[in-house]
Amino acid sequence: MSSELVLFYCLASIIIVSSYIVISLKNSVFSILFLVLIFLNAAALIMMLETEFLAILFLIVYVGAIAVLFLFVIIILNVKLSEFYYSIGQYILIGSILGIIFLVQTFLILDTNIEFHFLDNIHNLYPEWNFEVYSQSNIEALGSNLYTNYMYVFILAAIILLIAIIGAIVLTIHQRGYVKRQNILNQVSRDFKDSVYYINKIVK
Amino acid sequence: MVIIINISDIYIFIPELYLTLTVFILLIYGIFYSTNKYYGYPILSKNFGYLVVITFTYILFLIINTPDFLSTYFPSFFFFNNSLKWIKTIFLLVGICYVFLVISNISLEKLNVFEFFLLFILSILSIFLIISTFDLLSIYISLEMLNLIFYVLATIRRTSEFSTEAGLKYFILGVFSTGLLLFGIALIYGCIGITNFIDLSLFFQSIMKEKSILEIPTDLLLGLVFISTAFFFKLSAAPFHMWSPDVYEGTLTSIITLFIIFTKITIFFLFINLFGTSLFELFNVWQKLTLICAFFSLFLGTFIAFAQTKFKRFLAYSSINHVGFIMIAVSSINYNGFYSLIFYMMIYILINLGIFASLLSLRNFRNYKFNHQIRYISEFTILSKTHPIIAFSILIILFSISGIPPIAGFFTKLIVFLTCLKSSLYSLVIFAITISCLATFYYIRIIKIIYFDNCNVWLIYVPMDKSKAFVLSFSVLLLTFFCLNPNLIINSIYIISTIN
Repeated sequence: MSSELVLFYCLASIIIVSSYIVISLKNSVFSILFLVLIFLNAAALIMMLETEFLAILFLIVYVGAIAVLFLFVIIILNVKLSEFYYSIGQYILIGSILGIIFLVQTFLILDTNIEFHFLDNIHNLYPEWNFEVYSQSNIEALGSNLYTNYMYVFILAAIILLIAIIGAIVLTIHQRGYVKRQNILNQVSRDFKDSVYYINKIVK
Repeated sequence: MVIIINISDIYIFIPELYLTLTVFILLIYGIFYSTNKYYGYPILSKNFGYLVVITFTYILFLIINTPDFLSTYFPSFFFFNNSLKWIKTIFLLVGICYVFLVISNISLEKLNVFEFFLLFILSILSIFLIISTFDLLSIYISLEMLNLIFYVLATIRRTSEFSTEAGLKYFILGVFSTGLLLFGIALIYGCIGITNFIDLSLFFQSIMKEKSILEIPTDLLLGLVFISTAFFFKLSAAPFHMWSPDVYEGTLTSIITLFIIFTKITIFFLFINLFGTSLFELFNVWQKLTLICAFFSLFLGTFIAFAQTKFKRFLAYSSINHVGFIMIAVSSINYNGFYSLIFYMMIYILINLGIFASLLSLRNFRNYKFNHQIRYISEFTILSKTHPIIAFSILIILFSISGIPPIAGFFTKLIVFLTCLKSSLYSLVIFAITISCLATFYYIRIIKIIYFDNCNVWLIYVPMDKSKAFVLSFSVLLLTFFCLNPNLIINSIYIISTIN
């Protein structure tokens, strides 16, 4: 058993156990922390495939943005304990049957062993210096592809971001006419000589 | 590395480019004027509607004057041919009709955000991108663009609980189906490393010469099943239809019109592009999937519609029924299948324009100040006396949906059945004919409620405005007088769908 295989089994088993913990815990803050643990381990798995950029992206997007967003929502909603007190026995039979069917089908379809496929991509331990020096790094390869061959799709993705901004503004900003707002132009252009004056100046 | 932008690519892309630039300009214009104290914070929604009509007429000229040749552009992410040009033209005309349809209702429904029409232009842009997509990656990007707009539009009445519920439901299920789509694309790409449509079709042609379908790697077939499931989700075909009645019930009627009219034809066009060209060699697999979906959507779309009391839910199940018929056209894999699909979609769009024009104009006064949209089917009683014109047009449209002979709906079903018979799917045709006979029952039940039921309380409706009346008369007259010269429209649609 090579060291990569041991590492893979460790990470994968941590992922499976902690994903069970995520759905079984009553306290939602703890379950999100376990979700972060899953993301970390998945990022480590991606790192094993030597695609560092994807692993870092995974961490930034999922841990940095989505998990933190979840935490914010839970803290804002102030839900300490989950309100769903259900018994597991209700679902365990049908759930396990469906799960076993799904697993069997998946392994029939993807008939080769997943972890051997996985380990095919991992290079041997000794670095080939020739290869290391003259090959592009991960980010370079991704960037050169994104900005040349996939440029148009990339621009469309930018338009999607614009739509997301418009949508967020439409759904959240509620403009009322009677609210007094700060007008910076008026504040800045105000002259201190005119700001304090006698009333009779107007009367004239 | 030098990036070469082909001038001819830009030349073909000019209508979409113009659309994008218009969006930016209108966005700046709207933000500047609607927040301007000097102009008194004007409500720009009606103004934006007319600006959209002007924009669309300009793009109509641009599209008609685009060159007639078949090509792929933007390193084969998108393609262009002659039939696409005419379908884009039809989309623009329908878009103009849509603006006329909703322009008075957005003020009645107090939808005072100018971004509504902006999102509408963007959705037309994304529809153009979807129907001209030629790569698995650009499918994902352009579909996501359309869906994101529609999630926002479903939730746009954010103070209403119905609307937020509908938007959330649409969002979650839409994202789920997009996940399936991405997983399917990833499986196909992981197996053979190809995403382009032409490359896929070449690959499958060469592989099917040597091997039978059983020897094809199962990952590939799984990917195909996932992609088609995602499409069925988006089309709300029957086993995956659960979200659509809830979404249709919750969202505003003027926005549901947009969903019903534009999404179905777009996704079907994409489906035909992907499965009819690139994955055509695997038709043994996906024909079965479409047959199952056709069967279920005919069955459930008819029998669940019996139980509905709300008109919008009823329309949702009716549209599921329509999807079943179109699925029949798709699953009869011959050259006429595509053309009968386009023909069915055109008449479907006409029917929906008419039915929503009449539904949108049925707003009754609760008192002199407030009016609200009619929701229940039972509220249609004695519409024949309170609003005879709309009652008559609903009569024509429902006859057309159910397929009573002289009206256009009959010819669509006829052509679909004929193409289906050509590929010898006899049992499906017999089943579909029986189902459509049963379905006439509930369409005629509404006509009975409109014409023969009695009620002591007469509702008073908001008068119908000119633009909506224009759309309604356009649809109803075209549906009625279609039988005078059916070859004219049938032949023109045949030409549109077969020139390349």
